[in-house]
Amino acid sequence: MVILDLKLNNVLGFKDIHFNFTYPKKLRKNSLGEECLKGVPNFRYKKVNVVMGSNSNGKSSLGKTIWGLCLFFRKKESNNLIKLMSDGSDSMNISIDYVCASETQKYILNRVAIRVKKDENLTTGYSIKMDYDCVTLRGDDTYETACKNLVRKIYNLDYLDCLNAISHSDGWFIAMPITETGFDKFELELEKPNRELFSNILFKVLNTLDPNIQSSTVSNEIDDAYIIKFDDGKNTIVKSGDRITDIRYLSSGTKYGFIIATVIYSIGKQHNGLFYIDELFSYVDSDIEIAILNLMISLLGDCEQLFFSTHNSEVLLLPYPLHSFMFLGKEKVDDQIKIKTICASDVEKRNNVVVKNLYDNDYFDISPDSSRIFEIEELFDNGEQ
Amino acid sequence: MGNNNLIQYFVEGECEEKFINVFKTGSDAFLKAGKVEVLNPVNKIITEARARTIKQNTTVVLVYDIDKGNIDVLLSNIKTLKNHSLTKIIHIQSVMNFEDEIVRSTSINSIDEMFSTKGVENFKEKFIGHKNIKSKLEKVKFDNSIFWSKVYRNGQFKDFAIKGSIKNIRKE
Repeated sequence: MVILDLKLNNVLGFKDIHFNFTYPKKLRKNSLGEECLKGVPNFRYKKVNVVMGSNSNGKSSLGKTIWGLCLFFRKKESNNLIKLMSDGSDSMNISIDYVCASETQKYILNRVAIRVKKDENLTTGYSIKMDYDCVTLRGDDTYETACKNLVRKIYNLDYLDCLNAISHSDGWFIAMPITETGFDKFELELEKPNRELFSNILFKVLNTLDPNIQSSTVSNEIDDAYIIKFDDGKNTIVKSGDRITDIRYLSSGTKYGFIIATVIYSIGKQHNGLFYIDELFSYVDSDIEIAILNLMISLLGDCEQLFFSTHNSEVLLLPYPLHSFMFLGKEKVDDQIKIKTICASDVEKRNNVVVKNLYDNDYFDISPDSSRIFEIEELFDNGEQ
Repeated sequence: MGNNNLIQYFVEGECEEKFINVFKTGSDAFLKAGKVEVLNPVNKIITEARARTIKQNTTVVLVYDIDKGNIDVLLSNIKTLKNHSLTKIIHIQSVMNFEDEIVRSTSINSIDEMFSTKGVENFKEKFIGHKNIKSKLEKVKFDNSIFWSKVYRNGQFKDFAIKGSIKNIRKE
C-alpha cells in the first residue's frame, strides 16, 4: 500500500491539513533509485518520507491516523475511526488516495472520503458516511492523469457498504516508542524456518547496539523465543508477547533492538507494504540510526512506502531527494494554533542543497520556542524557589 | 559541515517574528534564514544559559524599536554575547517602530488602513494571525528595499544606527 494524498480535519491534533506524497517530475539523479510503481514509470510517489518536527507537532499523530485508517479498512470496526476524532462538536473529515496491488497484480488507485459526525440517535453515537472510487492504473498513468478518472461523489454511502467495496489487500507496520499504549511488546510469530533468519537479524542488531552480546539462538523449547547470550555467560530468553521493558540485562537502547529487528525482518520479507517508524531511535546512537534507516530503504520493495520520524537532524545530511524530507510545525492562524506541514521541496528547488543547513537556520519555520525554558532561571532569581 | 552561515535573530515582538519567518523562505524571500526568537534585546536580558545555547560563529541579529527600551540592557546583552565569542552582531533598528516601517514601505498612510483596525494592538493581532501576510503586503505595494533601511542618528541607540545594516541580512 502506498499513500499518495491525505487530507485531515478534526483528526487528533490536525485541523485542515493536507499531505501529498507524490512528486511532480522525475529527477535526473535520485539516490533512492526509482521512486515509482513497477511498470508504471510515471506514477511517482515518495517512497521514503523522513518526518521531522518538534514535540507535539503531529509526528506520532500522523502514524496513529494511518494506523487507525488501516485498522478501520481491514476490521470494519467504527471505533478505530471514532477514536481519531478530536472535537466531538464538529465533524471529522478524512480523504485519502492510496494505491494497492490487486490479485491480478494490477495497481488500483483508491480514493476514500470519510465524514464522521456525532449522532445521538445511533447506537454508536456517531454517523459515518463514506464515498469511494477507484481506478486501475495504466502503464502510462501519472498520479495526476489517474486522478482525472476518479469521480468524487458526496457522502452517500453507509460505511459498511463502502468498506466491503474497498480494495485493501496490503498490510502495514506501525512501530512506536514503547511508552505508547500497546507498543511495549515484542511481537513476532513466525513459522519455524523463518525464526533462524530473524534470530540472525536480531543478533546483528543487538550486537551493534551492545558488543557484549555474543549470540542469539532460536529456542527449541518455546515457540517464537530467542536466547540472548552475553560474553560473561549470562543469558536471557525473550519470547513473542514479552514486554520490552521487562527484558533483563539490556540497556534502554538495546531493548529497542527487538523492535528494530522486527521492522527490518518485516521490510525484508515484504510482509506489510506500508511502514510508519515513529521515533524508534531516541535511545539509539545517531550513526546506528542512520545505518538502519538506509538498510530499511534498501530492503523496501515495489509498491511499498516508508515513513520514518525522528528528532535526529543528522539524518538531514543524507543525500536523499528534497521531497523525502517532510517537516511538521505549528503556526498561529486567526488566534488558533494549527499544525502545518512543509516539504523541503516546497520551498527549495535546488536539489543539491544540504537540508541540514536549511534546518539549522530554521528555514522551514518549525523550530521550537525554548524561551519558556530560560524563564525558569528567572523563577529562581526572583526568589520563588 | 561548518556552521559559518548560522543566524540567530532576537526580535522585539511577534510581528517581527512573523515578518522574518515569512520573508526568509520561498522564491520571493529577501531575508536570510535563521532562527527567530521573540526577545526584545533593548528590554530583556539575554541570559548566560540562553547565550550558551547559540552555536559558535553564529551571526546574532538584534531587531528592536528605537522609540522605547533601554540602552543599558542592550549594552549588557552585547557584552554577554561577546563573552560567549559571539562577535558577529548586527543591529536592525525599526525607525521608530515596526508599524512605522510598514507605513513607510507601503502605500498606506496609517497603520490602521492595512486591516481597517482600530489602534496598534488591534493591528498587531491581525498581522500575527493573518493567513497570507505576503499577499496582503503585496496588495499595499510593499517595497522591501525601503523596509528597515532608514537610519536615525539621534536618541539612545544612535551608536548602533549604521547605514546599510540591512544588507547583512538581505539574501544575495
